[in-house]
Amino acid sequence: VDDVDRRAVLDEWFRTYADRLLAYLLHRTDRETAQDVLQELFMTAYRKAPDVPEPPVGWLFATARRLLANKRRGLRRHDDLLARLADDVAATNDEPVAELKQAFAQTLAALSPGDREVLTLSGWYGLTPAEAAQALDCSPNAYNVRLHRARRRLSEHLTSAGYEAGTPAGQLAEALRG
Amino acid sequence: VADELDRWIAAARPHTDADDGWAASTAGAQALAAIQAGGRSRHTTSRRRRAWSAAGVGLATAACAIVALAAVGPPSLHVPPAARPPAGHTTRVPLQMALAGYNTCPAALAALRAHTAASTTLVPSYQMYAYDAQLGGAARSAVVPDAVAAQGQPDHSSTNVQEAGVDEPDIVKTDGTRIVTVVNGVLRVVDAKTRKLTGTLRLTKQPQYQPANLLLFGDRALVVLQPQGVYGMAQGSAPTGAGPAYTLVDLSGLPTVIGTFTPNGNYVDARMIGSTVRLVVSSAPNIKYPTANWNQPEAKRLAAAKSAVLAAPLRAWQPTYQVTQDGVTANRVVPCDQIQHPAQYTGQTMLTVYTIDLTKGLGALSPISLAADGDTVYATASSLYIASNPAWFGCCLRYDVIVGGARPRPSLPQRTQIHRFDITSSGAPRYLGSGSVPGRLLSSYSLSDYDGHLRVVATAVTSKGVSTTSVYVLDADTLKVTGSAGGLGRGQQVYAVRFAGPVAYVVTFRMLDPLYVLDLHDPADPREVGQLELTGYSSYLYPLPNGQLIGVGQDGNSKGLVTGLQVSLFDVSDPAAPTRLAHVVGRDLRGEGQLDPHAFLYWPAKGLIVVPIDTWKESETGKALVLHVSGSQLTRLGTITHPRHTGPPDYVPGIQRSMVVDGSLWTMSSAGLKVSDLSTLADQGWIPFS
Repeated sequence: VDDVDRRAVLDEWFRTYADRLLAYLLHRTDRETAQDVLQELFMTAYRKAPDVPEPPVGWLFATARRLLANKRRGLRRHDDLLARLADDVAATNDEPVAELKQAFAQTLAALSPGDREVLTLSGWYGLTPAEAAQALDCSPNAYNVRLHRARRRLSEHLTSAGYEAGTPAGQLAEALRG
Repeated sequence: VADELDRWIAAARPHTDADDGWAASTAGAQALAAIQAGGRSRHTTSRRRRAWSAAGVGLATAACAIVALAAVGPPSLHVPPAARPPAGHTTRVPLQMALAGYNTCPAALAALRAHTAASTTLVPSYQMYAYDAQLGGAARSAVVPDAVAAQGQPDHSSTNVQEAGVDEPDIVKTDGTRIVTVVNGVLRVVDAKTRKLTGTLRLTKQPQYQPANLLLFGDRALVVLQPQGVYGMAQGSAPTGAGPAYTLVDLSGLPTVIGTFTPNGNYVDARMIGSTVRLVVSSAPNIKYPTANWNQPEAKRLAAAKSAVLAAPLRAWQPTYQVTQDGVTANRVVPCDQIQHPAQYTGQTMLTVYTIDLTKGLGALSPISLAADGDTVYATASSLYIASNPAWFGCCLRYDVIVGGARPRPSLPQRTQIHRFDITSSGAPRYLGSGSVPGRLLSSYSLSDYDGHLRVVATAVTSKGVSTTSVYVLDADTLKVTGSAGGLGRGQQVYAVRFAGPVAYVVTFRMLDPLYVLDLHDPADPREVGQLELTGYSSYLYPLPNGQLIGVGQDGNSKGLVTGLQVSLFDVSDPAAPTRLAHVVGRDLRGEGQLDPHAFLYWPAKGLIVVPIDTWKESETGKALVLHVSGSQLTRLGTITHPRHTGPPDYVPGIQRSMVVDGSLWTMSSAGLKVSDLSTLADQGWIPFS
């Protein structure tokens, strides 16, 4: 594969997936780090293009996660996702939506980082189960088990936090149980 | 089910800058160009490769219990378009009032942490002083309570309060047989008949000036001593502990202390209905922020501050207080199931309402806390409202996380939050909900609960920096705006607001004083119906029952310069055509500042008006101006002066309050009480405080 082909492929991947990848990063780190990681990610993709499976979205997310984890290790220990969610709750003017976001943020805070990844990958970045499994470096079966368990835990936390049917958060808990 | 679930989760997704076609934007194109430029550098990529490949495996293990090699999805899988912000979802979420309580203590902690972390900002140190000053200003204006004299008390006057039957703390109270004052940390009881000092109780260790107020019911007085010094901002954000002290005093014999209650936090205000007092205190969460490392970039300092918030225990937010009674001191904490929150809040301030029945003592204070800001308290017999003026810049400033670029939050709109509590029961108030209006309030007089509606006068500054004042009518149950009328006094400042049943009067001023009359009969359509332009302004309005209005303020000339104290009598019986009937100007009595409504006396039986004169003119300052109102006439009866304090220091004590007790006019200064004839103003007695 020559450089011209690689550049064409890279352009295509960037146009198709960069939005979602950057959103993923911006949800989890500061803008500067997000842009650094995005740049490294596509440089890695460029270099490894022949080995990247098609469609590449699962691989791109998996690599973004690794790069971010590596960066985070050097910068800080805590998870920025919770702070992002908290910021977002405070900036939301629509009360029911704010409440839903708050419920989600506060229950997510009680879950493991792994559960948070599992729950947000498909819901927030439009990954299919297969792509999400790829992003998490596990089999589709393992992903399904993992997702099921994470949903159950989220539901339990929502219920124990007292969010009951009738509120948006309660309906979220319902949907999780369903 | 999975789709439904993902829809809910998608609705909770924070919007990012990458969501609106970023890759196709100029910024995206620049990023791609940088990647292509970097991608050609073999050196860079190989170094970076080493950097991540070793670290990646561990994380993958953490995220997925079953580690497997990347499984490639079926090639036919459709890749959905990038996730979009949940704009479309917001309308599909069913409307439901937010839960007021947290349900569980862990839920309270999680939510308080999240909200507080979200609102934590860095503030440059040079702004701290400005913030302090403004905070003090806000607190002062909030403490300026005010009043309409309770009618139908035939033999003595009472504190000129905003709502009849809702008493406000003041420096002097009377029940007709005695006068109780608190001056320089000393409570004094004076018998109205004998005009003798019958009791003295020192409440501070040393004689010193300390802001103090009291409430009186039967043989009990509750004295509020406010701490001296900087308002609000405690060092390192922790409560200073030097909060207000509330002392319950028994007056059945010689005054004796029953007990003392000291909440941690800042005095906001109090209201008393019957013997039940509602005390409002605000406190900041006690979070141990890391010491700012000035070499760190701003983002890191902010992250460290937020981490501290996210690690703080629930106790950090729970307001604490101390009660001393019968020689026993107990430290108490507001239980977490008594902490509630509005739909939106910063977590940076807790408002606590304590309830004291003066006839019962300090046993059960039934505190309830609301995670909200507040500096203005307004109450009717059944509802307590606490309003928070919008933060000046950023909401939440902390000394020790300070530094770096200014971070005003332009996203914080200039809105006043209003929280409503039900106080019909004698126990703890019940939080009913919150609403908001654009702009800021002048004082508690900007609020009025009438006929199922809360009316609010607020001044907002437009994006062009022009202030404009509006009246909003809110349904008191939902606190949603049902109607508004705006555009009052563009570019002018509000000086006075007064509601009288379905009518509101608003005075704005810059060069001229437009007195606006607003008709609020239709909650959906409040409207300005009349306007009267005068020179000068009124800073206090007092509606008389006969369709007249008294205004006290400053006279001015056509250039907008203030020339002296003025008292006006308006005829507002035709709301569309307000007129000034009479007008007394003291060119020699140039007043300063706003009139404290508690200092205003109207005694209907004699048509008497008394206002203190505060001026730089040595020969006139400290006096009280006595006027007579009758029909459409307003005449000057004379002035009352207290004996000169013969030095050192040598000064004329300023008259602060006036009242009618036992058929005489009583005036009070820091030096003592003077009794004067109600008709001739002739001296009848002097009761010195020293």
